[in-house]
Amino acid sequence: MFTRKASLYFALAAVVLILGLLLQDWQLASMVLPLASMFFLANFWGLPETIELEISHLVVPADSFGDEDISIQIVISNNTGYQLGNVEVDELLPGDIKLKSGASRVLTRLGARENFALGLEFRSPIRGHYQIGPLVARVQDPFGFYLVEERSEAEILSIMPRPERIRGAQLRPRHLGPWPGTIPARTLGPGTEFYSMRDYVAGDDPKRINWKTSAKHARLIVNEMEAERVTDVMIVLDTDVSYCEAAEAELFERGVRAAASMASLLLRQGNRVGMVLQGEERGAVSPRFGKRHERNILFLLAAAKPGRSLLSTSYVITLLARLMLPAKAQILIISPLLDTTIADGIRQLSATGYSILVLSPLPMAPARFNSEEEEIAYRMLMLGRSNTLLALEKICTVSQWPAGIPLSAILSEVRPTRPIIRV
Amino acid sequence: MKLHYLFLAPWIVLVVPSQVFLGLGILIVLIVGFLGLYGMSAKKKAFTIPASVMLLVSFVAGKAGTDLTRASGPDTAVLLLQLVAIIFFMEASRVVLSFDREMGELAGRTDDMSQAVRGRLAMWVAGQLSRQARLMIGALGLSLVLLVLGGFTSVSINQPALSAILVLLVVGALLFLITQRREPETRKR
Repeated sequence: MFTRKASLYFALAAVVLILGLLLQDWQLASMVLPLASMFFLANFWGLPETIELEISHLVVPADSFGDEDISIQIVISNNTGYQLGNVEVDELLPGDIKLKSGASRVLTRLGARENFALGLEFRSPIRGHYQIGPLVARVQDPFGFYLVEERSEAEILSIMPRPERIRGAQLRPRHLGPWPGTIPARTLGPGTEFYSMRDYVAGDDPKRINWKTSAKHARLIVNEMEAERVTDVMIVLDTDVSYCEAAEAELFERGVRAAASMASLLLRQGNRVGMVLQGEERGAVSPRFGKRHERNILFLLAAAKPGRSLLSTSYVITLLARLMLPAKAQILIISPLLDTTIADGIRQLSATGYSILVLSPLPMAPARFNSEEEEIAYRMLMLGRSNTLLALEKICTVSQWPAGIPLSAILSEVRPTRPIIRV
Repeated sequence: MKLHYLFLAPWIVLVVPSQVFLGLGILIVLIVGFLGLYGMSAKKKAFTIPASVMLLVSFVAGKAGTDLTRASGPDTAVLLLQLVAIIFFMEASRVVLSFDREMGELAGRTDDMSQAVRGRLAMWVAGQLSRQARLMIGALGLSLVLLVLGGFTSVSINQPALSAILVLLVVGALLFLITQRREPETRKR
């Protein structure tokens, strides 16, 4: 195709020609000749009519936990039998990516049937999704009058939060799945915890005989174990952390890390886990099992950004819980509880039988306040949060998580408020 | 290459009779020279492009002004050479500035990938300049040949009807030369 630059030169030629004829000056009119010659030579010798370019780019790795360098491998193949003297390769990168080696824009020439491989490397950016590309290759004649452009699709680089290795909290939902897991099922079955004893019947495993009790009662008695099953868990990450600009990022990232770690732990234990992002940017992943599903959840968390939602958190969690979870399943809410209306939603869910655990990252007090009004606003916000905490403690399990304390330590102290019902 | 405005601007502007530019020829040379030199040294196309456009405008306006003031103009071959020189240096300076910008991006990087890109860039700039020079010499040669051939045919451009047909023919030929084998640009951003 011909470019805007070609059109401008054409306009120049037309102006020179018209001026020459108006002034009846053949010298001026003849100045059109070098311009026409340029077009002719550039068109017929500057660039082949048909150009076959193949371009591809590969981001390695396509998703990362942010602790390794990312590289992009670009390959451009000239499948035509002519040399291409003016090739521009442009990989469009987000502004916050700073290259460590290589270049995102390369001007080069390509020999006939030449393959050109180009690599570039950069340090992993912070958590988030980044669009890499599209990769554009432009072939032009020496003057840039004619252009052939090839594009390849953009790739998404995902920097996910790294889940921490944590120990589990005691979850006691009423809904349990049929598969073996780690949650005590309050019924007989294969498990690790003692449940009851009964008389030996033919076919029982001799390893289960309780010899001490058998000797005491002069008949064979076997131990019975409590079944351990899996459950369905929905993790809700409340991304509304608006309280003090300087400390919001830390509070938000703590919540994201906790959500990633909890999802990873619960999936490792064999549970079905879903995730709901509630805030300015919303997103949801339905509960599923497995390692691949963990990637889906981490992918969703990679896109999480702090911000206040237009829809009430209370409304969203009650709606999604009913859509995504079986009745009486487990809901884990990770929220700094700065939105006081959340308590209503949790109350409704609790009333319908869901087991709820609220993990609340404790906002850090700002190092200093810019004004007295700011300090009063902060105190009022914290007072509102304390009231929400008090209200929630009556209806579900609430655990506060101060900064600097490992999440495992907090979770190990979590005790369900609802009494365990033995069957 | 970076100092071409120093000799190009006086050559284009000062050969035109001073009354054509109302005695402001020196000022135009200074402005073009300053813009061009500053643009080339600071590697800013925003300065070199206006300088080159001013040179082109000065060239066309100078020739038109010479006709209007009925002053004596230079030889046609000299005029052709001037136009070709302006266009060549304008295009070459764009190539050099692109090269400088890309090299600037790679400054301080000593890894293998960056070295490979540097090597490619050096190849590209040498190839671009030599191809541009060859095409411009070809365009100049072709123009001179066509001029000589045109001299044999004694066409008068004093008659309006003939002039109009000539304009249409030349514009048609130009359009053919531009668009033959090519489609309009549909570049996406």
